[in-house]
Amino acid sequence: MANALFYLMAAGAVAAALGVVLAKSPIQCVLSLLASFFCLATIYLLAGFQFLAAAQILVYAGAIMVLFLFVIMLLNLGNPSSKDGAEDGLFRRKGAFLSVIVAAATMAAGAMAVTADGLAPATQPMPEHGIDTINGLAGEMFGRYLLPFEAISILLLATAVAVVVLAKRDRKDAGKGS
Amino acid sequence: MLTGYAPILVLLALAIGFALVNLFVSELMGRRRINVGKADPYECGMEAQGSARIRLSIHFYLIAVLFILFDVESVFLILWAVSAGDLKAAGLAPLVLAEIVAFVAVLGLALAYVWRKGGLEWDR
Amino acid sequence: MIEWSVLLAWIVKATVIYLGLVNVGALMTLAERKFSAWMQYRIGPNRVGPFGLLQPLADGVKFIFKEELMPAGANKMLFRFAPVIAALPSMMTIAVIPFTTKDVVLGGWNIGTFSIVNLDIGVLYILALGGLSVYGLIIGGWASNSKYSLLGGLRASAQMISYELTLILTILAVVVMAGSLDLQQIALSQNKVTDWNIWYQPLAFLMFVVATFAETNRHPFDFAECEPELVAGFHTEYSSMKFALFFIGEYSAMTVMACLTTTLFLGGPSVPFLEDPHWALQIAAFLAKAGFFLFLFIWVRWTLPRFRFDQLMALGWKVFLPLALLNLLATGVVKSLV
Repeated sequence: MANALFYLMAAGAVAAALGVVLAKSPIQCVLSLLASFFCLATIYLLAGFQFLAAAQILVYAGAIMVLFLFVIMLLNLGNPSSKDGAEDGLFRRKGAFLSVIVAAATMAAGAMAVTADGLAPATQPMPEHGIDTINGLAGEMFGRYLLPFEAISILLLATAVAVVVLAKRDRKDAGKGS
Repeated sequence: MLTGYAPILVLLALAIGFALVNLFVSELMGRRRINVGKADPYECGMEAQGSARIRLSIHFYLIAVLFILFDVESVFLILWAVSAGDLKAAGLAPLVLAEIVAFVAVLGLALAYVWRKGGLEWDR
Repeated sequence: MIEWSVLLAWIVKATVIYLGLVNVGALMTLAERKFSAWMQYRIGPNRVGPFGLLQPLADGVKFIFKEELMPAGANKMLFRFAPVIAALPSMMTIAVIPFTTKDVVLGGWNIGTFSIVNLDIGVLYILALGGLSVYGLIIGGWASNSKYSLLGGLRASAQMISYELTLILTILAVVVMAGSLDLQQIALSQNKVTDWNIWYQPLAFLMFVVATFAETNRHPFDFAECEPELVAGFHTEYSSMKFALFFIGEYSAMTVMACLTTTLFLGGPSVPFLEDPHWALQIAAFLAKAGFFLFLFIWVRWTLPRFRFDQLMALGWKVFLPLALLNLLATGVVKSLV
C-alpha cells in the first residue's frame, strides 16, 4: 500500500514537473508546479516527515506560488500568444539542455547513494509521531542552529528592503511622465 | 504515520467525486444555445472594450512578497509556540525567548520600514 | 492489514461529516435569505416545503438544468476546473475538526472520537490547505477573460493572504496555551468552562473572528464580489453548477471557520458545568457553538455596511499584524517565565 502510493506520487511528481516545462500557458505551469509540490508533500508524509510536508504546502504552495501567479499577471505573460516566437524557441532549447544536465546529475547522485548504501529495507519501525517531531525540531533550531535561525531574520529584512526599493522605485518618475 | 492520514483519502474521494459530478452534470443536463452575445464577457450590457488581460498593479507583488516573509516567520514561530512549555521545563525558556524576541524584532523592523516607505498604503 | 471494522468506521465518519458539511452549506443559503427577510420585515422564501425548507433543493435542481456559459477568449480548461480548485481545499479542512473528545460508541461498536482524523499537526493541516483556496479565485477570475472577474479574483486573493497572517498568529497564541498543534489536545485543554481560551485570549479571539470574515470573503469584507463595483467579482462569468460549486466552497469555508473558532476559543465539544458529558451531548454542544458563529456571519452581513478595500488592507497590515505579533509574544513570555 505504502509502496504503491510512493510510486504513484513519484510518477505524479515527475509528470507534473514535465507539465511545468511543457505547458503552453505560464498559469498552467504554475498549477503543474503546485501539483508537483503536493506529490512531494505526500512523499514526505510517507517517509514520516509531518512538519516538513505541512511546511512545504504552507510556504511553497500557499505563499510562493501565489507570488509566481501575481508576477505572471503583473508582466501579462498569461497569454501564450503574446510571446515572441523566436525567443521562445531559444528558451526551449536552452531549457532542454539545462534540464538534461540537471536530470543526469541527479540520477548520478542517486545511483552513487544506492551503490554506497545498497537498497536495504527500513529496519526500524516508523516512530508514532513521525521523525520530525516539533519539539525535536525546536530543540535543534533554537539550540544548535541558533545563528542560522537569527540570520534568517536578517535575510527576510533584506528581502523587505529590496522589494520596497523595487516596487517603489519609479513611482515618482512615472507620476511626472504620464 | 501513513495509517494516521489514511481516512483523509476517504474524504478526498468523497469531495472529488462530489465536485466532479457537479462540474459535469450541468454540462450534460443543461440546455445549450450559444450565440455571440452570450459568449461576450459581461460588461454591463455594452460590448466588451479591449482585453481583460491587463497588467496589474505592482502593489499585489509587494503584498505577496510581504506575505511570504511573514509566512516564513510564522513557520518558525510555530516551532516555538508548540514547545514553549517544554522549553520552560528544560530550563531553556529565557534563552529561547530572547532569541525569539530578537527574531521578531528584526521582522518588526522590516514591517516598520515598509510602512515608513509607504508600501502599506493601498491608495497611492 | 487494516481491520474491516476500522475501515468501516473511517467511511462512516467521513461520509456523515462530509454530508453534514454540504447540507449545512445548503441550509445556510436558506438561512441567509430567511434571516435577511426577517431583519428587513419580509417573509422570505416560503413556498417550497414547510417554511421554505426545501428551497435549497429546488435551487440545486434549477442549477443543474441551467445553461453552461463559457465566455469567448476564456481559457477553457482552467475556467472549467477553477470551481473545483476553489471548493476542494475548504472541504478537505473539515477532516481535523474534533466534534467529540470522547469515543463514540454505537451499540458496542467503538468508532473512536468523532473526527475524520486526529493529526499531531491538525492546526497546520487546516492552515496549509486553507491557504490554497486562493487559487480557485485567482484562476477562475483570470480564466474568465472578464475585467470584473480578474479584479475580483485579485482583490480576493490579496485580502486572503493578508488576513491569513493574522489567522496564523492568533491561532499560535492558542497553540502556546495548549502546547500542541493537535486540535483534539487543544479542545481537551479547555475542558472546564473557566479554561476556555476566550477568557485568556480575548484579543486573539476578536482578531481571529474578524480574520475569518476576511478569509471567507464575507461581508463587511466581501470585496471579491462587491456588487456596486465589480458586478459579482470572480464568478461574474460563471453559471449553472459551476457557480453553485463556488458557493458550496465558500459556505464550507465558513462552516470550517466557525468550527475552528469553536475548537480554539470555546472549548470545542466541552459542555459547560459538566465534567464528563455523553458523546452525543458533546456533539450537540459543538454544533450549538459553531451554529452561533455561522449565525454571526449572517447577522453581520445584514447589519454592517461594506468597508473600502484600502481600509481593509490597512486594518490587516497596520493594526492586526503588529497586534497579533505582540499578543503572541506576550502569551509566550507569560508561558515561558511565569
